[in-house]
Amino acid sequence: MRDFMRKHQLMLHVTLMILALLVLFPIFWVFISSLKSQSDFLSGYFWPQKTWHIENYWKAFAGEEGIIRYYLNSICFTVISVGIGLFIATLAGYALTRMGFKYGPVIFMMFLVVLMLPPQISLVPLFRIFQSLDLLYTPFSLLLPYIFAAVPLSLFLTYGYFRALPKELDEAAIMDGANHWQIYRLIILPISKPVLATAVIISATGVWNEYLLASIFMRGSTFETLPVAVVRITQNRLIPNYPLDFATSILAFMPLIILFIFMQRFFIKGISGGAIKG
Amino acid sequence: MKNKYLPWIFIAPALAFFGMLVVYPTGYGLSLSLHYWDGLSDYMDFVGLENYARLLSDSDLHWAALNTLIFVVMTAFVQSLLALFLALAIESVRSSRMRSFYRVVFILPALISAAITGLIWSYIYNPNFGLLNDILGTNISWLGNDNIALWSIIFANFWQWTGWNAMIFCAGIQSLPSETLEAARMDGAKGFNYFYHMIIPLLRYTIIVVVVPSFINGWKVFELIYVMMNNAPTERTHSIATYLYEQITMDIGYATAIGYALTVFVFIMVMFYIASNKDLRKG
Repeated sequence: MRDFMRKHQLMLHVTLMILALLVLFPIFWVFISSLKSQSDFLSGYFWPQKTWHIENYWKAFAGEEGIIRYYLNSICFTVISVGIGLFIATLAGYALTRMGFKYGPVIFMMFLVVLMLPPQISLVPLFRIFQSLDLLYTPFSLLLPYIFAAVPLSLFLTYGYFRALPKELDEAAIMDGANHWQIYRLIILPISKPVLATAVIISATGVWNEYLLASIFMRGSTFETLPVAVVRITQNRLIPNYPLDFATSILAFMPLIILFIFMQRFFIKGISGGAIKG
Repeated sequence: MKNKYLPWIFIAPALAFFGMLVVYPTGYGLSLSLHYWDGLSDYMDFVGLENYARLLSDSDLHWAALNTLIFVVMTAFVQSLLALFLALAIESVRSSRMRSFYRVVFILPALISAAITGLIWSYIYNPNFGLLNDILGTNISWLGNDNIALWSIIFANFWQWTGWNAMIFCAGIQSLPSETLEAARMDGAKGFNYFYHMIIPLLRYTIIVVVVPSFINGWKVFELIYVMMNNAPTERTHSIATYLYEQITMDIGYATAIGYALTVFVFIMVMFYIASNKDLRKG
């Protein structure tokens, strides 16, 4: 199969290019449409007529129904919860794999089960818990679940990676008088960059894009997150303006694409080292 | 150095969150699932297992389960197979610069929120100004027609996730022992045989890493359908999760029972799959 393909590089490129076009074209259409006026868009021309309405982006970002505030909300939620979540997960991952801890696999399995729970079943209980703690509609009602959401996934990725690192690393450090905290912070974390980058991308994507909890715990509040705000704004416009909807959508997913392009070098290494070989 | 409490201290934060956000809500939810509660009144009516019995006779739920089953079969199995072919194609490209180009391009859709993907695709499928009808020169209501709406949703999911899964396969293919593959090729392994008897068995663990999460997420599918159907899925497009969500406003006990039944079912299926796999049992 691969053999056959190696002999037919040209055919391979043509096929992959067609598929790439299929993947990119909807995004390209959204982008071109975001630069039209509403009447251009409805008249069915592919390219914008007369002018390119770049100001749509400014309107979508900072205009009357601009998303600038939700941007800041989402950035705060993502940075805080991914940061804390990753710290908690790697600390646990270290203890489970490198301290000769006999309950390691059991606790690891326990966290894996969490990945299977549909978020809907904890919705009402969480709502009630936050209600009784008076945390509803405050940032904490989202931060706590988001921090935790990053934990099982990052644990899943780092567990295999940490376990595969040679034991001699720790032994040498212990000889030199290092304690576990120092080994974790100065040895294990620095050499785990690829898998940490993978964990950052996957958990940041998850938090940035989370919709269900945010739509219930934050809808219409000051701390509403980006996806909820985008869906609410675009579905509730009094006068439809589809190009503006497109500009809003593009602004909403752009930061993740930039993050990914910066970290993609580590990313592929991370999935092969962490989840696959582990 | 020997301190038997130290590991517990390192794990404590993770366990604290686990208790607060998993154990307690799950227990609380279990008790909710044994009650009738409209969510507004102070009074909850204990109904025992009645909610679970109702699962068996609720025909709307059965439709939702059938739709979700179709979605899962298509996204966890068909889509994973497509992703494997895509990955083999990408990894056969000789130029390493083009390989990374393809990897980046195909992964992009996976970074977009499912809610926003739903929004974008509802415009692409729009019968009046949608991209798809423009290209095909047709006038089909891709989401309005009950016979094709689910397939339109599945296609949008293919668009979003095939590349992501292909990327994980790429990582798996890169870690294959090249000597073994070389030896097999020397012995004349080719085409389908090479694929079926060499690639598939060697990628067993990677296949699990791709199929199990797709399987779990498939059963949980929510935003994509909910937003694409403009917050009002029909009998033929409801998933179990969107149906559960609708039930919350009517009877929280019943909605929670649906969630529990779903979780237990998915858990058993995944355990079966993992137990039937020799490598995973070992490690």
